[in-house]
Amino acid sequence: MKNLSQIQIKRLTTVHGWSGTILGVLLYAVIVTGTIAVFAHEIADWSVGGTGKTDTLSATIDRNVRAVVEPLPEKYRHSIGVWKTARSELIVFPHFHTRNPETGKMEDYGPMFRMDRGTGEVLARHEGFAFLNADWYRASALENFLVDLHVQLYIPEPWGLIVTGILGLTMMAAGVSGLVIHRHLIRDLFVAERSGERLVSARDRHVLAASWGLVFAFLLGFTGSFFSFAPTITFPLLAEVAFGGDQEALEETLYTPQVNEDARPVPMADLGQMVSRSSATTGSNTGYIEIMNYGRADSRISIWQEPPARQLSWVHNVFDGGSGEFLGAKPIVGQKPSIGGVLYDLMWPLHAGDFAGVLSKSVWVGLGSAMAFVVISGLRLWVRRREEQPLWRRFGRVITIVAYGLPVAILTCAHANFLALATGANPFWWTPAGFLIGFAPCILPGLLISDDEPLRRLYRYLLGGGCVLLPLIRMATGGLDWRAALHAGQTTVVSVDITLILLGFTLIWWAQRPRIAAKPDPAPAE
Amino acid sequence: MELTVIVALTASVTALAHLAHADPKRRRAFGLPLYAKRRRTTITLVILLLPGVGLLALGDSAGFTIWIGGLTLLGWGIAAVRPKRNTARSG
Amino acid sequence: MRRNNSLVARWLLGSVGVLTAALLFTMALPVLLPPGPAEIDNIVWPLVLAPVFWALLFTYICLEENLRRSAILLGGISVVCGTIVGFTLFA
Repeated sequence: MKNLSQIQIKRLTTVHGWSGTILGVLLYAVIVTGTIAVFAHEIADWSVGGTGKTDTLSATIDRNVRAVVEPLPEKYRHSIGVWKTARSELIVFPHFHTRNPETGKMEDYGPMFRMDRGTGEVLARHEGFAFLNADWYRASALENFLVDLHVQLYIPEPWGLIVTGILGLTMMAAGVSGLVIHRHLIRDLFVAERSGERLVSARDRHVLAASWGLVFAFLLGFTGSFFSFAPTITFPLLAEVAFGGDQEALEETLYTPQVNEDARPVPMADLGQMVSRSSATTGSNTGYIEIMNYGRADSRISIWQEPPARQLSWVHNVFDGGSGEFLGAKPIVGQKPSIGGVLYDLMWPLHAGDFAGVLSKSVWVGLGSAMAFVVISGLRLWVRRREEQPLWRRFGRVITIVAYGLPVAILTCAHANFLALATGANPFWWTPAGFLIGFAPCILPGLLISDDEPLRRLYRYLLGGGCVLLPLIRMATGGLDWRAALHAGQTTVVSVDITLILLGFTLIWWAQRPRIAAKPDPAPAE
Repeated sequence: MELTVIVALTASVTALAHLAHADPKRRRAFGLPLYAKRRRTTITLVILLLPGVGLLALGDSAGFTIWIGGLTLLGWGIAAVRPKRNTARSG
Repeated sequence: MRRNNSLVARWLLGSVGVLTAALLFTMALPVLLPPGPAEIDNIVWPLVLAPVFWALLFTYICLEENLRRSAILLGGISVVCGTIVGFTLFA
């Protein structure tokens, strides 16, 4: 890349810097919420503190599903989704696909049952376009809010997805342009930040983090924009070209197991046995079950298993619903294995790090934090170069407020979630409200304190205190205490509590640490 | 699987630490004298990359992905720590 | 004046031009690609890789010195792929 002209480098620097300046703050929000959302399931388990994590799904599932599905009219038996919530309750959702007059889109309609898995009691029954109501199918308002914020920044569909998709593209473009601008990626791979608060120090910091994070910045941006654009733009367009606009037909081709239609009534085999068999064959936990054509000869049961040991992708096992016979694993897309299928399978694990439990997720949290650091250090470098101008200095202040304030607001929403649970208020309303309330402790210090250093210290205290208090608030508002949690096999609750306390004390320690006036390193910059 | 990945990462990180320690640009930037011994870059690179190749050869695609993700993080960590100042060189 | 014109042209090519070419290229792929053993490759490849097509074209526009050549390339992709898409949709 040595033979690039100065004009080309300058142009790329402009693109890199301005796209970062305009979209960097939003990108930071998506990255931070995404980093937290890596542990969405654990956060859900922790925030609702459900017991019964250790029982297997298979024990009572057959009885529970039969009890609610068999009295239903035929039209609801076309497709039945079954899964377990973070509170360890069973959701059974018999539905059909129909156009929602309000959104104008094809959506799943039917009665959604929330059941106690042990007693089989129906705890709630709602009927409608169920996936528009998160409180029907999700136990944790906190998980729901954090995931929603990451996926679409709380902007209504489809615009939120389009915005996050554009941010994914920005991340890819920033990676590529950054690589070209920097040129000496390998040579500078080990050059630590030179001390002394100089411009070169700010540059070193950004370049070093970005160089090491380059591959994953590209991958996370690419996979992220795939998840944003596939449902909103690419999938409908490809359905136009390849299936005459019939998105249902395209969905069936990709995802549904093939079966010859046969509407003869047939009693269903034991679902619990199929779930046990599926888990044993794949050697991992069951995530989600879908029953097609319940009570008919062409019934198919799809059981999705989490990735087995040493593998990245989920496994889709297919059973004959009438005989209970295992028909084999179907690729996630298509009926036969293909390169396209492999590529598609890689997108989720590479985006979310959701394939080898806590270990892979921890690495992804690290990668996410590194990306957040790259964005903020890049913004700081950009401002540093222009700090003689008051407008840019003010923008620098905004960066500090957002960098620290966003995590403060996220902590506030977690506190609000627990307070709502304790007072019987609707946590699905109060969690987002708590986030907005969190804007006060997030923005006010930035307006009141004029010096940067004390401001950062205050934010670190706020963050540290917020983290340490969370487990206490959780327990005080009726969450599981550690003894009960360990007794119920809920190790997630204890692990998240401990992580928060450690993180909190680290932040407080960081806030207290005296600032060392660094002496500039004597060596020349280049 | 977890143990395999941790062993693989340890080997690769050791190699990275050596590369960082002997890196000429890093030493120059911090006013250290050039690395006196042979850097043995080729063999270090082999030690760095071999665990990844091994994980792939074992069919451990999950392990490989954790390895490469972890390596970029730990590599950043190693590179970001400033080398100790050379006390002999003071001006 | 000429410099301003070329700046505007590059902005247009980099925004609308790249987006149009990448979208039409993505839409034409189901027709152009072989469906593969599972008969889904021609759909899944463009579905997954659409963001990469955009990134490649965008980087190209940023680097290309000769604006006329980049206009011809983007225009060419758009016209050829647009024709294929048009025939598939309306014929």
